[in-house]
Amino acid sequence: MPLGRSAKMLHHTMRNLVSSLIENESVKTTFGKAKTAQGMMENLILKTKRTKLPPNQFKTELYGMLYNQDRTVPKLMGELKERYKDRNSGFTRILKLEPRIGDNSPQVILELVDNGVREMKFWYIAKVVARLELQGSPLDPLTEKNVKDLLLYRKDGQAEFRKTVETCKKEFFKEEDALDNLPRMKSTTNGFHRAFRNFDVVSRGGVEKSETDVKSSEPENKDSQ
Amino acid sequence: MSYALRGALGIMSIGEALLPKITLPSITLPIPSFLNPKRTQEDAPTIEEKLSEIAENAANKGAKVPFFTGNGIYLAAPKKKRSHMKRRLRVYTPGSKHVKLKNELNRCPACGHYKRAHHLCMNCVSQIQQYWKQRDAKLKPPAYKEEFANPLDEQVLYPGKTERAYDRKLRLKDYLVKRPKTLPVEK
Repeated sequence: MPLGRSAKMLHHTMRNLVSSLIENESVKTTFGKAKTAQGMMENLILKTKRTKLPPNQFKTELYGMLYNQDRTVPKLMGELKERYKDRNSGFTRILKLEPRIGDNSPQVILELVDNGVREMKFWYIAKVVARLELQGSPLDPLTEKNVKDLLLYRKDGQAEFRKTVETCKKEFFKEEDALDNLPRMKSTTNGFHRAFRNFDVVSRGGVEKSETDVKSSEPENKDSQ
Repeated sequence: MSYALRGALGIMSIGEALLPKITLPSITLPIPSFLNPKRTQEDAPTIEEKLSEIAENAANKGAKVPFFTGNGIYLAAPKKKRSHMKRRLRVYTPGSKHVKLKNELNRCPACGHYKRAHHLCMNCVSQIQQYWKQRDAKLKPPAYKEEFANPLDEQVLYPGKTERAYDRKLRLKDYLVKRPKTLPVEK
């Protein structure tokens, strides 16, 4: 039994998840469920785009596939179809989160791409850009690429992104030491590994000097002892 | 036991004269085995019968005889205590039970704290989600509120509530486990 459910239960779970995804644009579930629901969602949107059935007939078909049909079916056939007319695939996105407190199950956010309501990736990248701008440092290559990918098919994406960045600047850096930590990685991966150093640490003037002073002073003390 | 005592007290209250003043305890004499009729193998009592018999006896005698011990039936139990060394070898030797180092850590570009690689930083996610919640609450139509011509009417109909400690606890939700913020990367 996949996901600890019988076939019938699983079908209902997925139908429920997909319906909520259409209604709310974003859902938070475990990884396994999200992966199954993602495939179903993609298929549904593709089917809606490519169908040759007359609208009434297709509508009845959709009524058998979704829940809360009075809200989901018109939205799928109207808003979502219009939104994804330039895309051939990749209508959804999975973002990994930390495991859930309690049962430690891997959590993810499953969201529809280019939704203007609750798009976590859009806001996360906007927050990164806002932080860099507040610190007065230029965008690193990875962030630049991320922004470009994000706004590729989006309608009025640039304007909306700028607006979100301004909101992020106002809302999310209210703590005193929020901007103390400067970006230190020169590598484009924005990551580092403790075992093998595939990154260069950017020197920070005073802080770096004092560290070296401490290091250089230590062996002298040992010698004197 | 307590029932028996109460019953006895009840009888005492009816009238002492009705009862005999001296009572002798009933004595059961052990009868030698050769006097008893011999049992065949088929008649031999099963464990269940024996247990039920013991339970009956225990009930009659006021549970003075222990049910599980001293009745000739033994339950499975280890013979010896596991030594300190053996226990520690079992519990702490296997590498799979050690605390492991986390090498899959990154710096969150949005807040500068540690985060798991290929995962979102939970601090930033919760911050954004909280903002969405406030934003969506503003967009909702305001809840219906009754209007009163005379403010006294409102006071009479809806007198003020006092918040008890229990209500306060429920409202603040301090009992929930909160995810701590990770450490900043090499400050």
